[in-house]
Amino acid sequence: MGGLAGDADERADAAREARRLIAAARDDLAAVRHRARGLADQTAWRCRAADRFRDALAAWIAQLDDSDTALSQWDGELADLQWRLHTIADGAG
Amino acid sequence: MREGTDPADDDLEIRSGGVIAVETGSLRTAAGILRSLAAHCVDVRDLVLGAAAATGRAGLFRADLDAGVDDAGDAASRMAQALNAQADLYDDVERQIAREAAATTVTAGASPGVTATGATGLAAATGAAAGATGSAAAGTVAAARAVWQARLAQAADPETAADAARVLAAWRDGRTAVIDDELRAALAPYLLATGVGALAGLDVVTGLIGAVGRGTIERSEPGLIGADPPVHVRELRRMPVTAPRGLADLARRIPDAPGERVRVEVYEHADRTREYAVYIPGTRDWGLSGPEAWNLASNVELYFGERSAASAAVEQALAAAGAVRGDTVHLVGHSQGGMIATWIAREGRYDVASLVTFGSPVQAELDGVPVVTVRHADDPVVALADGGFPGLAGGAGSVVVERVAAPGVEWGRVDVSVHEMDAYIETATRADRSGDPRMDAGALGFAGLGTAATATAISYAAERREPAAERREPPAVRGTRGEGEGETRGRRVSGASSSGGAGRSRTPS
Repeated sequence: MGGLAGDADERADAAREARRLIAAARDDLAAVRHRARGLADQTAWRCRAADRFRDALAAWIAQLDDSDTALSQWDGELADLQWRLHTIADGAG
Repeated sequence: MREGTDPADDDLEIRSGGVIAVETGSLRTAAGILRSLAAHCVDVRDLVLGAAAATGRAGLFRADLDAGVDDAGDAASRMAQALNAQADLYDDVERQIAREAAATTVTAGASPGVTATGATGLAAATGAAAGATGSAAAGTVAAARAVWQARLAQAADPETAADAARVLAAWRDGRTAVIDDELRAALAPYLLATGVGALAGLDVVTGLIGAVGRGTIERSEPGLIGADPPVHVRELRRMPVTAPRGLADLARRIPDAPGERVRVEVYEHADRTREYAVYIPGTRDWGLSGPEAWNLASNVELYFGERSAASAAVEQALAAAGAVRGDTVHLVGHSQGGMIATWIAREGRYDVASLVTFGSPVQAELDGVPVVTVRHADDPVVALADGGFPGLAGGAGSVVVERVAAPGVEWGRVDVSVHEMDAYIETATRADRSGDPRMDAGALGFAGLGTAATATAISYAAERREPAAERREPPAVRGTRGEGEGETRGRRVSGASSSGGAGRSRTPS
C-alpha cells in the first residue's frame, strides 16, 4: 500500500502510538496526583511556618491537574486525527 | 489560607509540642515522598516526550507538546530540597533554644530561693531574675547565638533562614509578650508600690514566674508531695455515653453542672479490658477555705507541687469508677484541672494514653505520653507556665494548639474571659475544623474508645472535709526548682477510696 492511503496508515499508526503513550503518561500522572493529594492531607499543618510549603504543594498539584487536562485534550485531538486519517484511508481504498 | 477554613481561624497555630510548628522528622518524611514523586514525574515526562514525537510523525502540530509536565519533576525536587533545608534549620533552632533554655535554668537555679507567694515572693523572685544578668551563663548564650547567626548566614534559602530566625526570636523575646504587655500595665501600680517597677525593661511578671520556676515540671521532679487532704467524693449520676469525636467534644465534657467536679467515662471492650477518660474542671471558688475542693488553696498547692483536696478527689473518683494502678486512662483538664491531669500523668500510676489540657498553668515533660496543650497566648493563667518547654514536652503526637483569644483588647486590661472554658471550646472547635491531621481523633489517642462495647459516664461531686481539730495550716510553698525536695506536711490521709468499680459500687465513701 502506498500513496495517500499508505501515508495515512503510517500517520494513523503514529497517532495510535502517541495515544498509547499519552494513556500511560496519564496513568502514571494519576498515581502521582493521588500521592500528592495524600501528601497534602498528611501535611495540612495548621501553622504559619508551613504556609509556603503548603502553598507550593497546592500550586504543584494544580499544575499536575492542568497537565492531566492538557493530556486529555491532546488525546482528543489525536482521536480526531485518527478519525480523519481513517476517513482518508477509506476514501483512498 | 486553605480552602474550607474560616478567615477567623488564621490566628490558630498548631505546633508539634515544641517551639517549631512541625516536627522536623515530618518535614524530612514529606521531602522523601516528594523526591519519589519527582522521579515518577521524570517517567511521566519521558512518556510525554515519546507521545510528542509520535504526534509529530502523525502530522499533528500542537503548541503545547509537554503538557506542562516537563518541569513537574524539577518542581517536586525543589520542594523536597526546601523541606530538607527547613528541617535542618529548625533542628538548629531547637538546639539553640535548648542551649539558651539550659543556660537560663542554670542561672535561675543558682539564684536565691523563692519560698512564698505574694509581694515578698514576687520581690524575691525579681531579685532572682535580676541576678541572672551578667552571669557566666549569659556568656554561654552569647557564644551560642554567635554560632547560630553564622549558621543562618550560610543558609541556602534566605526565606527559610528568615523563618528560623523569626521562630527563635519569637520564643526568645516574645513567647509571653502578649500577656506581659497586659499584665505589666495592669499590675503597674502594685509593682511601683513594691519597688519592683524600678526594674524597667524586664518582662516583669513572666520574669517572676520564670524565676519561681513552678510552671514547668521536669523529668527529675518527684510527684506531688504531702498526704491527700480529707475529701469526700459522691456519685451524682451515670449515663451511657459515646466516645469523644474531637477536641471540642473533649472540652465540652469537662464538668460544668452545679456540684459536678469530676466526670469519669468507663469504656469496656469486648475482651473486658477497660479504658477510663477523666474530665477535670478548673477552680470553682477563689477562697482559701470552706468545703469547696476546687478552691484557690488547691490551686496554690498544686502549682507548688503539693497534693490538694481536688487532686485527692480525682484519684478517689477514678478508684470509685474502678480504675486501678496500670489501667489505661485518658486525662482531660481545664486550668486547675489541667494541673491535676498533668500531675496524674507525671506520677505514672496509670497507663496514660493521652493528656489534654486547656489553659493549664503548668506543663510537664512526659516521655511517651501524647500531650495536647491548648492555650491562649493572652491567658494570664497560661502565663504561669512561663511559655512551657522549648522542646517536645510529651511523646509522639504531642501538639500545642495556640491562639490569641481576644486580639485587640485594650492595652493594660487583662481579659480573664480568655481563660474561661467557653473561649477554649471555641479554640478547640477551630482546631477540629482546621484540617490539620494532628487533630484527628486517632492522632489525639482517643480513636480506640470508639470500639468499646459499652461506655458509661459517671459524674461525681467532691467536698473538702476539714474537721476543726485538724485545721490545716496555710499552704507551705515549696521553694524554687533546684531546692531540696521531699518536704511534707502533717495531714490526715483521706478516707480510703472505694475499691468498687463502675457497676460494682455506686456510692464511693
